[in-house]
Amino acid sequence: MAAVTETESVEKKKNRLMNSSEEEVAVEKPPVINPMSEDDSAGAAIPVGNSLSDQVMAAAISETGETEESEKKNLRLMSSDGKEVVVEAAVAMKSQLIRQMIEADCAGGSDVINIPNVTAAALSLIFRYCEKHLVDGDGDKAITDDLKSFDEDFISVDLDTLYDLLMGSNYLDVKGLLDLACQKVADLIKGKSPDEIRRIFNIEKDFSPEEEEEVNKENKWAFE
Amino acid sequence: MKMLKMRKLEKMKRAAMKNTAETGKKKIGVYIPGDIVSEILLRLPARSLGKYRCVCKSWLSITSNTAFVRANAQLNRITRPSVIVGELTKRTKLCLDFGNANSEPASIDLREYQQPTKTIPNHSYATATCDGLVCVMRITHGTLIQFFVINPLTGQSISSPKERYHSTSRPGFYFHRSTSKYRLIRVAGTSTMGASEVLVVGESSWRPIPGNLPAILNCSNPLDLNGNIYWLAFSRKRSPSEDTVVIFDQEQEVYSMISLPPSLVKLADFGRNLADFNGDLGLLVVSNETTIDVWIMEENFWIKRYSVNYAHTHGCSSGLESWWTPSGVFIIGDEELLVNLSSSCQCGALPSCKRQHYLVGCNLKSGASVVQRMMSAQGCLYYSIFSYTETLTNPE
Repeated sequence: MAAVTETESVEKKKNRLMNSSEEEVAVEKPPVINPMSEDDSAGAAIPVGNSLSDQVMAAAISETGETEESEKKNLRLMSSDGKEVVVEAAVAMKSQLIRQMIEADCAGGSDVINIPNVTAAALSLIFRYCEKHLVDGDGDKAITDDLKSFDEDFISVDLDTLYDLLMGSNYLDVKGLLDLACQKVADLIKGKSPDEIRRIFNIEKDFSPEEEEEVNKENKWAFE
Repeated sequence: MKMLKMRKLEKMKRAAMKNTAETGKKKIGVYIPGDIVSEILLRLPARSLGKYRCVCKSWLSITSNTAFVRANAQLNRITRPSVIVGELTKRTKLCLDFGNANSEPASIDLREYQQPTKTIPNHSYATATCDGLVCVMRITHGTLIQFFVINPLTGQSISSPKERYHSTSRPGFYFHRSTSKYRLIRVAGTSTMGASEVLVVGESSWRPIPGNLPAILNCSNPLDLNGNIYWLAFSRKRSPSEDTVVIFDQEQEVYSMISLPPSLVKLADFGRNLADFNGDLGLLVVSNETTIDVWIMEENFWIKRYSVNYAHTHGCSSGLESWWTPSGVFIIGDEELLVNLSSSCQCGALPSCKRQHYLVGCNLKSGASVVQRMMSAQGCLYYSIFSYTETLTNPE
């Protein structure tokens, strides 16, 4: 028989993005009207430009409902295997690499971004992860539980795909996915012997017999 | 909607896997850069890392790097928490593993810790832990005292010189960041003006810390948290209104004090102890035979966060029970609490009326609790529990 009384609220309340993870189509935001301000203060006006960078920034800002324009902007990416992948700007910007390229306007005027290290299939998977993780689950148990079960299912793939996700998320700099992939690899190799490790990672043993004996002696405790 | 999404995801996965099959070669292991290997290895337990040091020179180098070892220790402390129980007997027995991750602590699973290397000296007992290292104290011939800092997993051990035994508090044990060395700090408890001294592990003498320590006569177990060492300081008369928390800044090496919750000082309770509550300073108060209060310091204010009831009885109906200071506290995540209590009843009617040691495990969110009596070995006087995780940390 036991009872615990919580006398103080523990939960921190934070603002969450309003998007439900179930929706397929993005919601059109109504224009923000600010009758009080006459000047071009932040949020009331957006730079109008024709470059890809400006359009994408406008679209990204519109995700948070701060501006008057609300068009969705898609990005086109060229994968390593020569296929074009189309993705929403907001989703793609979860990749810090793409975000930096857009902000620095590295697209070179053309509308297609080259991603020479990642295949189209891997890109699609990675962006599916990004799309799901657009909603920040902070403090809301239902959302974080949902994300957690999504992640567990998402990362249950064969070794080769896991490798693609690992390298792809590293190249594109999607931290959450990189952490998830590293954890999965760690879980997979945990019980294995050094020989099996070398096989999986394609590593050659580069110790001389004497060096190997020394390492094994010093770390004998690990094999108890 | 959700089913549609799941099918879509499955389709994508199949496309990705088919893609790799089509290229006809096995892609895994083509090349994983060192920093990713490091991220993967960081998430492994220390025993696995020990095994994998022989994989290749690069892996040996990664797993021996000091910063890596420390980061791995911190991560394992969170993901694989466990405790060590150190008893003061002729032999030191270390036990491992508390409960399970579910919300019902059905039992507390204490097991004899099978040390891979026999490095704990006889006649010694654990006084503190840090990053998977254990500091043990050994008193020989009743007059000589010596400290050992040991990694029970790897067997590495460093001892301090023997010195004449004098009464001090149990030493605080911490990692000094700017010099990357482990240190011990102890407070001399008998003088009217408190004096303290620090030993850098591996060096041969204690260095006194100049002044500013209030006249504290008895300190509880030190807590290493957020770059400080915390003690509960009890005054000579043990009047609760004079108890304070003494804080030692590890880098600046200066002392400060904070008071306990105002409502607390008026009560006569059975005992208090400090604990690391997920990075915040926590105070446990045994307010009566069945209740433990948990206070957390938030932004300089004490907030009573939880009040836990637990059931116990040692079968004697004399009603003369008394519960003593919780001499060890261990918190897992933000939910599970493990407290080491000892009780004794003065009537002596039953054999169990002599001093008994209990471990109380509670889940703070669900309220479930379990009380387990610790089977004490012959002549056991004293238990405590410490947070411990196996790590690769080198004491040097």
